[in-house]
Amino acid sequence: MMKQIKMKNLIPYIIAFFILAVSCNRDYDVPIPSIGENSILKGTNPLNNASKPLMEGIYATSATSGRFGDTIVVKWNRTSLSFACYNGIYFVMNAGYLDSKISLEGYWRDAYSDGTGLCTMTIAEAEGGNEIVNEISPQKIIIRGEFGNGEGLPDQSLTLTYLRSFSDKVKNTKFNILAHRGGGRTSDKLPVSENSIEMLNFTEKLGSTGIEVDVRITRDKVAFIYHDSDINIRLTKKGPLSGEIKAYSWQELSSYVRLIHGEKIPTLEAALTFVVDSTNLNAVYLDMKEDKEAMAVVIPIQQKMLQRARDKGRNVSIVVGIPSTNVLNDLMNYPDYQTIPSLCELTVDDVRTVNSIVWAPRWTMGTQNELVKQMHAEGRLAICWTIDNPAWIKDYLSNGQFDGLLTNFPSVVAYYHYIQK
Amino acid sequence: MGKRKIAIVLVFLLISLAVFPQQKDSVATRPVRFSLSLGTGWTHYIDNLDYGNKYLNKDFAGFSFRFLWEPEYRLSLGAETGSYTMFKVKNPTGTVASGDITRKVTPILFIVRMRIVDHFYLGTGFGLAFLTNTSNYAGQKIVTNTTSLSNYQFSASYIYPLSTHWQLGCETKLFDFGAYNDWMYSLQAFCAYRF
Repeated sequence: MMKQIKMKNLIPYIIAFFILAVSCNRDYDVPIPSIGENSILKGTNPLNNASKPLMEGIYATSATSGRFGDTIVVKWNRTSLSFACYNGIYFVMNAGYLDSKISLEGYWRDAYSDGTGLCTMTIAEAEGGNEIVNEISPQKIIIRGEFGNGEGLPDQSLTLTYLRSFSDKVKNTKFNILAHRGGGRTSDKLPVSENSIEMLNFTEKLGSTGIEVDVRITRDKVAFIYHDSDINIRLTKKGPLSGEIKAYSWQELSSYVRLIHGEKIPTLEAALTFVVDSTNLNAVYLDMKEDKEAMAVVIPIQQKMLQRARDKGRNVSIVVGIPSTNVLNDLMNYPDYQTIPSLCELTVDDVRTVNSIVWAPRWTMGTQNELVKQMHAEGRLAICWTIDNPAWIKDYLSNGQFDGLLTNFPSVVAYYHYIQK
Repeated sequence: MGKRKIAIVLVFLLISLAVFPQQKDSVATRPVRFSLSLGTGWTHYIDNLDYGNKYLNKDFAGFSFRFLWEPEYRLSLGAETGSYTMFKVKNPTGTVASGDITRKVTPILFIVRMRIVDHFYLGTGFGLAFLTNTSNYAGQKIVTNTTSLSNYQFSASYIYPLSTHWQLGCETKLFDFGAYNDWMYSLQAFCAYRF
């Protein structure tokens, strides 16, 4: 007689199967730690704009754990002070001063992992604080403080000692640090969603000087920025719409779709308006994800925004991307296409055919210095995409002649760019 | 799905249980190796939408069709498909996005079912699911299709054999459709023919 299987023997298997089934859900949240009410910036004054560049440069690092390497790049962006390390760790710090002491407070984050923590630092009056506050080039700068892990209070020593300013090569070269997907990928667990207005506002903290955005067109011919071809729960909050995103009208997307951190999907025009009006970003690469009559929708917006930038005295380069032959043909159907500022990812011959102002080969093709020289001789720029590995970034900056790199990790490119001698 | 429809399904279930005499399903009168079953009943979408669910209808009728190979006394293997409406968002006229959005699913699952005690079975399944979203907005109908590769079903069944070949039963199922992390449960009455 067959032995009866007892229900209780099955329960562990059922539970295990259930856990397996639900464990595939991804978590895109790495909360930014906050020091809260114990902020050391309480009662401080914001630094003057003339003081900020005095703090920029290369610093020697002394940390108890050694996790930040030997040197750190310190660079102001539009809203905060950023530190960039060789291994992808970056700091986003806010600053203020009281009397002649400068206080810094913020967080560090490992771009390649979930690692994060708080950081509080100060520049004492006698260690550069007085000169910086009074807008005098300091004899020395020593930034002392602590960093922590996770939400824990900073408890490990970190000291930064000023070594040198950025080299003449760095100062005299306009190098583009282009951040992918509007400034950063959702999958890298940033606090805001990729291809959102919020990301455009955030990306300069990572060291970006320009961005790539992914351009799609709705059924009713509205250009918007979004990477994937479908609505999915990797990039968006779960809502009632699903399937191919271009099938829907702008009103439907606007009403029923929110990006993973709750932001609305922006129209291309809203995104470019924000870049021109509210950021210091100076390059925008419109990565065309549609190849049928998309140029007719996008180019008028590009022209309008270029004019807007000129009117505001902003030097912003906005180029339509050509990632495929179909997009190339779409551009060539546009009147006077050779006058349209474009970036071509195809061959140098294609670059010449449409008179692109930027040639953008894939990084796996190598540094291709001879072709880059040809482009430079013709008055064009050369930008390489999409390069993420620190070793390759270092190699391309050392041995290549590109005018910029497109990356998912702008803080790493920033480190290896600004540290060049 | 209105309360009236749910009540009809439940009444149907109760009548079916009362009318047919219970038989011991552990006594096989002849070797039967396969079964086909057809079920229908109430489905309920477990609302985990983060957005756009203000006017969400979650209760609908669903249908299922199952083929099982029953090689031995306890364990059965087979395939199951069906047609279910998961939800319908029906925004009233006058709202910004007036119109409606419906998501339907057709799963095709590999099924394992195990008898626990007389008449009681537990089952699980995994396989593909084809999701169809239909949006009616501003006079235009948009249909999009998504194939979901990671889908699960858990079920508990109560089966009454009417004869050697015919069975009636009721079954509750829990579905997880991975593409959009949709969860749904279903309470169905079914009729099976064994051969």
